Formats: sequence, structure tokens, C-alpha cells
Amino acid sequence: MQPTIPGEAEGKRNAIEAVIEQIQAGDKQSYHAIIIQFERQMYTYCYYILKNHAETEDAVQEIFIRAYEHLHQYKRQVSFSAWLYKMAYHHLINIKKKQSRFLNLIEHCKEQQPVMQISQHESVVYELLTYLTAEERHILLLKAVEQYTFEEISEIMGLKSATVRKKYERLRHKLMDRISQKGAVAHETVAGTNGIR
Amino acid sequence: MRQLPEQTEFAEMDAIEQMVRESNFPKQSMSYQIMNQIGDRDMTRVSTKQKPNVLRKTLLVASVTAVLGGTVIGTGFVSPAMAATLKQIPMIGLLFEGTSHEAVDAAIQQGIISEPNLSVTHEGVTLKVADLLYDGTRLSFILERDGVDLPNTASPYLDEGAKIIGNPDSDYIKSRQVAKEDQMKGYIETPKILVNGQEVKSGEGVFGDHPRLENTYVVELTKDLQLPDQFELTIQTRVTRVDESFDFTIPVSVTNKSVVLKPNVSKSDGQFSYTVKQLDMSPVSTRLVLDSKGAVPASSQQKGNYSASMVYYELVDDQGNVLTPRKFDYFNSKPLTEYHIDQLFSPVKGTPKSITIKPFTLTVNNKDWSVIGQGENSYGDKTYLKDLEMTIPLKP
Repeated sequence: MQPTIPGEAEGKRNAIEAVIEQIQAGDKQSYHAIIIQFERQMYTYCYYILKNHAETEDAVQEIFIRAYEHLHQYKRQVSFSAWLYKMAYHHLINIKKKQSRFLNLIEHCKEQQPVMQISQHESVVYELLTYLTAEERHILLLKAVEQYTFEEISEIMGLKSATVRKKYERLRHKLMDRISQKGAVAHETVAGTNGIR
Repeated sequence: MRQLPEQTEFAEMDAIEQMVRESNFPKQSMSYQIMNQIGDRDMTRVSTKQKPNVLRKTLLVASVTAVLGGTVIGTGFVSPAMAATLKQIPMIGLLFEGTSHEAVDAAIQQGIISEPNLSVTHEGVTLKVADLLYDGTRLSFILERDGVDLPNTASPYLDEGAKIIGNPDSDYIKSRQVAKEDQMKGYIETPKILVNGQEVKSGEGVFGDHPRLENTYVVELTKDLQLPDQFELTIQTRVTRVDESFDFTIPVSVTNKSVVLKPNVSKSDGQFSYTVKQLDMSPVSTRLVLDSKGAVPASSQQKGNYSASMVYYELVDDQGNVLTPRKFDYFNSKPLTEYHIDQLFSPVKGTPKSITIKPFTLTVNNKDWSVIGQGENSYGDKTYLKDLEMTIPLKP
């Protein structure tokens, strides 16, 4: 996507940490910049887990508000980004837990709804995600949206880094199997979508 | 490629991840909305007895204020139609919890709620100040937009002076940094609000789209609002791609906007003391301002693994009606020894002879700051501090 300029990521991280310090010192308005920085990828992450725009909107708002409310607890051990996503991860898990109670009902309702129009990216990603377990989805999405390392993902999800790596390998094989099974069609979709940008 | 299946697979994974990353959901920035909601929160834990859609509701409460609101005045006139509408709006219970029809009538008569219906048109875009509310504690109004076919009213573009962190060249930031001449026409930019020619300073405010009505923009200023009973309100708003500013000047005149008491009475138990600075009662809200000092008294249960929260204050009228606080904050920390409280409650019913302030604490688990007894219908188990109760007499 964006070419990595050496030092750029580090500089950005420091800039974010500096803004967080300002907010912790009482400069509430600076939080606006934080939201703008993260909201788009946060939306993507939440959306692929929740698969519903209205819920995603609520979730994204709740996550940013929760993060703000807990900001005084944030200390610079992990990056702010990983800390924020950790909160998001737990929030999503909670939502899913609550949802599962109503799952049957929701599934039933879904059948009766017209198929939503979705972009090409979305439909491909969507389909691929259906082959993964909930945990695998989180790993893939976290690696994708913010390009986190296995260490960062392990921090967010509370797993060992080696475990995350293993699980990622497993999900990669799963997806590759799927793609080769479906043969050229899926392959082209992936490549084609990739090429459009 | 065939010789290098592993590498292909990695490239394939990269492609998938990239696809996820670049999923382009057609989404407006929610940043203003989120900032509005954060508006009156501190970095504290807010009540967790929230239901799934609580944020929407929160926003709704804030904006219903504005919908109903209108202080207008000009003539201080409220059309019978509006008066009827106000009474019918089922949400009225939500906003003015405990407000009766009589109270709404009183608010209209006192000029607290009114509908100026002033409109300005420039280049085909019309803005109208539809409703206005001012009760001495909050000032809110609603702008209606006409002549624009856009789903939102609030401008999504970043101000020129906006602070940007991270990569200023990212597509996202760029999409919001649009030269004035390339912006879509018709978005409302954050209005400037002047009272008697001076820009209003307010501790907290809400600016933005009305969550339920199309083409409406809501402004609500609360906390630390120091305005006289009569003033000239000027609203200056710019609309994207329209050269002229939309300016409204509205004389506001509120009579008996609220009963303001400055009792300056203190109560102390030797260790903890508080002084009530102000108690305002209007048909739409009750406001309590006080300062407290000293360590929070702990009961016999509040020791070991448990401790007392900060001191909260419950307001009860002479009939035993408990006023509902507009928000209730929880804190993940030991209470401080000094507080300045400035809090809104639901309005009083009728004309009570007195208001009793009942200080209380919650019992907090030191490990995770959870509150004992907190649940769906409870802020938590209250430990009333009887020694610190105070009754403030109200003159009829």
C-alpha cells in the first residue's frame, strides 16, 4: 500500500503518543485527531466481525468513547494503537457473546432481508472469512487492518506470540486450500480485485 | 511461480490482507459525533447499565433538547401549533424527565422555549433557526436547512487549522482536506455564537447533525454558561460553497427563567464538608452547584477490599420525589478530597416548599472498581450520609 519510509512508522507512533499525553493532561479536543487517525480501519475491523453497518457504527463509537474514558489508565507500555485495538477486540467479543443468544432469531430475519449491495472487495473478503473460526478472523483482520506484528496481536488478544503465529499459519493454509479448490474463478477474483485499486 | 508455491501463497495472503485493509466503506467520519458524545464526559467510567443502543439514545436526549427548544423570542411567541406539538412529542418524557404539561406551558410563557422561525437564503440555500431554548443553564437551538440534497448537514471537511497526526498524505485525511472551491455545496460549518456581540464561552457543547431528522443541525451549549436574562443572540454560520455568511440576530428575553438560589450553606461532619453555592430550578431542569472538601466518610462495610466512592448528591423535594440526574459518572480511582460539582437534574414538580440534598456514597470493590449493587435499575447500593443532609427552603 504505502511505501514504508524508514523511521516513518516510528515518527508517527511518537506523534500519537505525544497527542495522547496532551489529552491525558486535559486537552480534550485533541482526541478528535486520534479518532480521525483510527476510525476508518477500526470501522473495517468491526464491520467484518459484526457484518452489519448499524451495529458497526454503534460499536465504533462505543469503542472510541470507552477508550477515552479509560485513557487515564493508558501507560506507554504497548503502543496506543495496540491498546485501542485491545479494547476493540474485547468489545467485539462481548457483542458477539450477547448476540449469540439471539442468533437464531437474527439468522431467521436475515433470510428475509434483501441481499445487501456490497463492494467487490467486501464480497470476496466476506466469503473468505466464512471459512475461518471467530478467533482466526480476529487474527487475520488485525494483521490486515493495522498491519500488526504477531507480537502486537498476541498482546491485543491475550495469546502467546508463538500461538498467534501458529494459528495464522493454520488459517493461511485453510484459505489457500479454499482458493485452490475453487480453482481459477476464486483466483481471478482475488487477483482481479487486487488489481483494480 | 509454480516452483515457488510458498511465495505465491504469501503473496496471496498479502493480497487478501490488502483487500481487507482497503475495503472502502462509504462512510462519513463519525469523529464529530463521537466528540459530541464525549463532550460532557470525563475520563471516567460511565454507567455500564447501558443498553445496546445507548449511545444513540444519549445523542437523542441531547438533541431533543434542541428540538423542543427555542427560546426565542423576538416576540416570545410560540404558536399554538408548537405548543400542541411539544405536548405530544412522546420523547418529552425522555428529555424533561418528570416534566408536566403545565411545566412546558410555563416554559413557553416564560420565553424559555420558543420558535423564532428566522430564515436566511443565500445562493439557493436556506437556513432557518427553528427552535430555541434558554433557561439560564443551557442554550440550544436547531437550524433547518433547505435547498440542499445531501444526507448530512454538518460539514465533513477538516478546518484549515485542524491538527493532524500520523500521515498527512493518507487518502483518508486527504479526502477531508478539500479546498473550499472543491467542496460539496451545502454543508453547515460550525456556527459562531455571540451574545451581545461577544463570542460565548461554554464549558461543553454539542454541534452537529440531528440524529433523527434530516436537514437539521443542532447546537446545545451547557455548563458554565453565564448569560443575562435578556440579550441579543447572534448566530453566524457559513455553508460550504456559499460566499455569504448566514447571520441571525435574535433578541432573547426570558422572564423568571429559573429560580436561582445562592444559599452558600455548608454542612460538615468534622471530616467532610460541602457548601451549596447555587440551586437553579427552571421548568426544564434543576441545577446543583457545590464545592466539597475532605476525605469521604466510610461506613463499616466500606473497608478491607471495599471502599467508599466519591460523594454523590441526591435531590428530593418535600413530597419525597427524587430528581433524576442527567448523567451519573463512575470513577476508576480513589475519590479526591476536593470536588466542584455542577450537575443537572430533572425539573421539580410544581412548587415544592423545600429541597433536601442527601449526600451518599457507593461501595466500590478496590480490585476492579466495580460498584456493589449496580445493575439495570440501580446506580449501586447507596450509603446515605445522614449527618450531611441539608434542606433548603424555597420561598413560594
